[in-house]
Amino acid sequence: MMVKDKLGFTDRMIAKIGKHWLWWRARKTNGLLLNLAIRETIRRLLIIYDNLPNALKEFNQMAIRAGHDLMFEWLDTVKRLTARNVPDLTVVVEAAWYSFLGQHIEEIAYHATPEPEHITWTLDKCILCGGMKHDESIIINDTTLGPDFNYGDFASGVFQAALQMLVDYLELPKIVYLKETKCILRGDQYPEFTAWFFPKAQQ
Amino acid sequence: MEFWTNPAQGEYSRLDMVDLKVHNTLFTTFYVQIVSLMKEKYGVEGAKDALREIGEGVATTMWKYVKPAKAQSKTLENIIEEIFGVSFYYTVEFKRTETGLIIIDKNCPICWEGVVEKDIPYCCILDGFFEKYISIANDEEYPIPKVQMRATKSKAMGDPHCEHLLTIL
Repeated sequence: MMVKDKLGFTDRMIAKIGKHWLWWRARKTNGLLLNLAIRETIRRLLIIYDNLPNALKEFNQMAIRAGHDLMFEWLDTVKRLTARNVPDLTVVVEAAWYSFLGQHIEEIAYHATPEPEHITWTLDKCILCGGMKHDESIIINDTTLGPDFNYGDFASGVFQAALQMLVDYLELPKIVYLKETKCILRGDQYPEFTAWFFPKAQQ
Repeated sequence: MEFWTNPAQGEYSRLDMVDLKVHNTLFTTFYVQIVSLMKEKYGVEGAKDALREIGEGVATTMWKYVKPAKAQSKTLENIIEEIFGVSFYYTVEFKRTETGLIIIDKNCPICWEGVVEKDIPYCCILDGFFEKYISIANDEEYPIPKVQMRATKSKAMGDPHCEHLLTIL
């Protein structure tokens, strides 16, 4: 299939409807189960890696490797929604987020500046952090998290790998870097994720 | 810079999340990585224990928010069906044995198509999860016995379906 230069109105409508279809036909797991499986995995990583920042760093790396598997399955489905430019990737991010988490992105924006170009989105509530603020079995806060990783950077890793595969497929000369830039567990009011698209030469 | 017009005003509680569903693939793709890491760090037998412990930890908290109805939980089959229904949205088949029960799982949520694991029964995380869930139910005077649960067949090991043997303690 030839990749378009820009998505049209019809493509955007297909994305809006298609994400519901993808979600409807997806095999589901309980949200609390996923949330607790992530917590228990981090608890195990804490035993292995001694502290939370190291555990989250390893979890992020695991998620990046997992993201390849995820996108491998999904790429065929989303090819129709892609165009060879970064702003139109907002459509894919919205569709992907909904079809995997069943949760609408509250707002999403593309920014050309400050460079590198980036896409930022915010959610109503975060299924990864849910319940963790009051969980006394693992203390997750601004102090224990350390400076580099947030609790939701599992999702960052998965989506970073998935977006990188997509960008490579589109032959955009970009390196994707994705982070949870605001986290409720750090005291922010809402979760926020940012994907930066660095020119390949500047990596 | 704050540029969102409608930022979130709250957060999910665990009770809220009982009613949420997510795509099963999210868990299965990172589970591959967990199994690989556990094998590397603990060896095959240690990895099985570590995976079961992860399942136990999930069950301990899950129980606080998802309790099977006592009146409908008169047998092991009842309670297992209810947990599968709430957690994974499908049901399994059962076969009674002299010492307990076999769960026959033709739709295992863990052993996704394409995953190959020859060393350990891949879905042994479910053993820890169900064993703990049933154990807590027993402690809280549900009319069911404590069990030991072990995956004996696993699609990831090449079996046609997954099976878990429950031995009544």
